[in-house]
Amino acid sequence: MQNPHTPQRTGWVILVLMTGSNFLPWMEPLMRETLSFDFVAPARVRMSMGACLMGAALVAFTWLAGRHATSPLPRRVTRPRLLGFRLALASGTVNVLLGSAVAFFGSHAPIGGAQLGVLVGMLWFAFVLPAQVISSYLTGRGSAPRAAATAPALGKTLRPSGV
Amino acid sequence: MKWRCARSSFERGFAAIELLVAMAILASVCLFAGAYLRTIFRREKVKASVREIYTQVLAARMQALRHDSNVVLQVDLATREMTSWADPSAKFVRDSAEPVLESHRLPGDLVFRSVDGTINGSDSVAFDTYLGDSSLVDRIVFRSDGRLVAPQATNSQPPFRPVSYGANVPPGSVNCAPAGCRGIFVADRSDGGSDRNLFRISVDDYSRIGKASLLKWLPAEQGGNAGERNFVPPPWKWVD
Repeated sequence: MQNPHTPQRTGWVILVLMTGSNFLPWMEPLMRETLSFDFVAPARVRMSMGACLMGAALVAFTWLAGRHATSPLPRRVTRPRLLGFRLALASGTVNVLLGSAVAFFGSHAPIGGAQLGVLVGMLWFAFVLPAQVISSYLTGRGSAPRAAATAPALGKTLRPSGV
Repeated sequence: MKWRCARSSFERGFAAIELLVAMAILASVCLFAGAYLRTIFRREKVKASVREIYTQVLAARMQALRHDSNVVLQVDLATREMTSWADPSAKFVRDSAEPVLESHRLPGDLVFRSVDGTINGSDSVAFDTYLGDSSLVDRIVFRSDGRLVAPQATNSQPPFRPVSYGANVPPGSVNCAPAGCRGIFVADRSDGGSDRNLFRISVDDYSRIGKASLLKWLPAEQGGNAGERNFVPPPWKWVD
């Protein structure tokens, strides 16, 4: 039986904040480019917007997949919702740090032979996006009441509404 | 069994709360994207309009070199047109024998107004008085070697150097005298004060070779030197 004091309606906030934080590493470099004499390249706008939209779509779909999934989670994942929240927090923090770095130094700043903007993009695709996908899946798994199957036995009907 | 459970779960469709969450994610994406894109497109649009005028100034200088003749670029605020013509007679007024080299509409989204001036006022295009004739106003004149014919009005004098340079006022910045300095002054909004993006397109700030410049006003409240009227090169601070 669920603890009525367990916060079960904060998942959507986590998802929204996570997708919102994606705009920092992708859009702040564009904002910085508007300060210069040159125009922002349309390809860069498309790339940044595409990455943000793709991140949001993946988060939404994996959260839904997590809600409807029936396969068992690994035994080590005892509290999927908490783990999902921690991953979301970590990815949001990394997004803020990456966004601050490109806003401060500019995406063309050389870091170890490569441009900072390229490195930020690679880091985001390699670590932040996968972390967000896992986080939203676990949040979905953790928020859907698994007691639905056992509810009829108790004479109750639980709707999968915990978000 | 598991497959059947999963199938039945999806067959039931999405709960209302799930659709709400998806909508919330979509709304947040629209909100963030809208806020960023609005700012970016607005700045780029202003920049494009300002650069259009700057390009006309550069083109007029190039035409002077190409035609080996004086070229006059006149900014007509009444008809909102920029017209250039070769002026071998050196009267700085176009006569019938002097064909128009280029004519462009001025960008409609810009307001011509200097720091303390009025909209379309006399200081908006401060390239005034040539050959002692105060009726020859609002025109830039390039010689055949690309140098500028210096306008003679008080409001059309070259700017001073800033007293001090720093992160906000980098080298390449200018300090316009309170009486004004030469330039075409365009802003993105009609109200005065420092709450606007005001650009200055000019020629020969410090040099004597006809070099054009595009600078942005940096009021003291935004980091300009106190007591000065600074116009600075990029990176610019924008008023959104």
